[in-house]
Amino acid sequence: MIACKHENNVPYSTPTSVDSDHLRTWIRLVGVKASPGRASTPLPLGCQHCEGAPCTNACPTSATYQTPEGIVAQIYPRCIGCRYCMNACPYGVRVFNWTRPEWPESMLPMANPHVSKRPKGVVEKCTFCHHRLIQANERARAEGRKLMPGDYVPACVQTCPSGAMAFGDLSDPRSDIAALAASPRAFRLKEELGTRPKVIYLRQRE
Amino acid sequence: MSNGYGHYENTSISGRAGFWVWIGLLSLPVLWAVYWGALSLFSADDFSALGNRTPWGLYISGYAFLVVSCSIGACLIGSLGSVFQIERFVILEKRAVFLAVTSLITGMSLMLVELGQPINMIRGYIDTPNPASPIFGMGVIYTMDLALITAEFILLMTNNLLIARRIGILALFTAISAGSTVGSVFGLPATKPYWNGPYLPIDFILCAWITGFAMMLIVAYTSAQRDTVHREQLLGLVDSMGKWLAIFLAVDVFFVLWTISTGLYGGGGGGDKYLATMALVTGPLKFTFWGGEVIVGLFLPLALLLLPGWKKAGTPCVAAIMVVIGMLANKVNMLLAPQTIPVPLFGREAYRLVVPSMVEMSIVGGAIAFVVLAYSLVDRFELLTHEA
Repeated sequence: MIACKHENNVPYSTPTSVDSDHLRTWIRLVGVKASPGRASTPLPLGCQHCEGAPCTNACPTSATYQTPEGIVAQIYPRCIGCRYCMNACPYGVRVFNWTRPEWPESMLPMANPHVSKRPKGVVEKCTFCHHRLIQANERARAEGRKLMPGDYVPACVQTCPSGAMAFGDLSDPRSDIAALAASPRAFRLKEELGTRPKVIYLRQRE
Repeated sequence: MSNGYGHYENTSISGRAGFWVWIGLLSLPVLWAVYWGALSLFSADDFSALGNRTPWGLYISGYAFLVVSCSIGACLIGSLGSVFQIERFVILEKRAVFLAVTSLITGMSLMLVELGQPINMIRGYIDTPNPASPIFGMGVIYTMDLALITAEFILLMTNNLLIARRIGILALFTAISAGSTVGSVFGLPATKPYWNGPYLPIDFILCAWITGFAMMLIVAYTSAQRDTVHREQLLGLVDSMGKWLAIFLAVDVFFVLWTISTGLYGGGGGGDKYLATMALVTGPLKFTFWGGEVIVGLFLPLALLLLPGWKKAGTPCVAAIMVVIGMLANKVNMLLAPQTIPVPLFGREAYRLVVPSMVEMSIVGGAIAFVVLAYSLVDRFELLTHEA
């Protein structure tokens, strides 16, 4: 979560922003119970990058759209701040900039120059660090090769100390991520809605 | 018959003074709303009580009330005279179309405060439109509606009645589509089962008929108090619209009944629709639902309109005022009910009701006051009086 904030210039939350439900975070931990009797397990919850994303249909100005790679991305200068995508998202992972984002003076030099700072009045969300994909593509092109596994991972996956998160190309059936997705332990959140999320969780081993 | 104030009597010094006091009283909330509206638009802070789990609130309720219930409602009643040529409604056509235009422009102004980046809308609608979005459809159809009813109003005021009628036919169908499309903004996404489905786009049309009859009944009654020439005709309309209002309210009783019943039937498996319905029945919205929508908005007006013992000259007007209040409560309840329920992914804690902030209430109250103010002014100077 901290890596995400640093990587994507997401302002830090204050007690006031938590109390007023104006929390700015692209990824959060939620407790999910596997069955009624069991203790809840914390799951990281960010944009699920659904294949059938309800938010992309809802957006009147195509500010949220799906990239050819399947990432649900956001073009902030197009966003009108109607918040329809927030109501359409079944996972409640989109956040609105209710106030003008501010950083302490000392933190400004640490801002990521590859990611825009968003103004008040637009909706934000996880983009799977889309700017890293663009950079990785440019590097691969400069080196005259195709994008290889591991060339591009989002900041949360890169920094997770226990390797609890994995990232890869789901459309490649030989990839490690495709094997994990095919595991009998794999499940998606709110599968019954038919949104076909591309974020897949694994149940604990029995 | 003209006394300098046309058909209207009661132009004594006290009558005029009373009118300007009324205008002054209406101007205060309007100015207050403009102040807070400008501050909300240009300040770095947020003055609403909304948050990421309740992204829509009173501004959207006020918008739906003004652009659907009031504007489309007035347009429908205006069409009875201008399009369908029902003789006794012709007297109200200019007033109805004026109210339709004013309510629509005021509702759209509310949207300016609601949207985070309203300027992006102009570019986005032209450069990168998404026709699959109900909000995009709503914007396009309402722009057409505004153009048509404004043209109709200008044609009526300049006595181009034949063209006004033709434009009126187009305006009528555009208005119904527009109102229904606002319902589809809620009805199409599957995320909120309480909103999802064909019910709301249909219900919004019924709400427009009810509010339209209620508003124009108040207009006819207040005009009858001062218009000596058309008094009998206007009071006849009050009686007639009172009956239509009662019929539509009786139908609405079943709309409300089956909305609640289908939400609760069999416990709904404890799903989101059941929880949203329970928010209305016993949850945090029970006062605005039972008090505002059911008792004040439905049953008391029905009793006032139908029970013969209660029938006095001003009774239908009192009932109509209650209906308008009930329709506003209906929009607040409809909007908030599914947003108050706990999100399963966040642990299904207690209901979470966001009480609108004073700024939200001031802005929406000021918007409604503006419509009354604008009508009071043009009515006072007889700009909308029917000439036979």
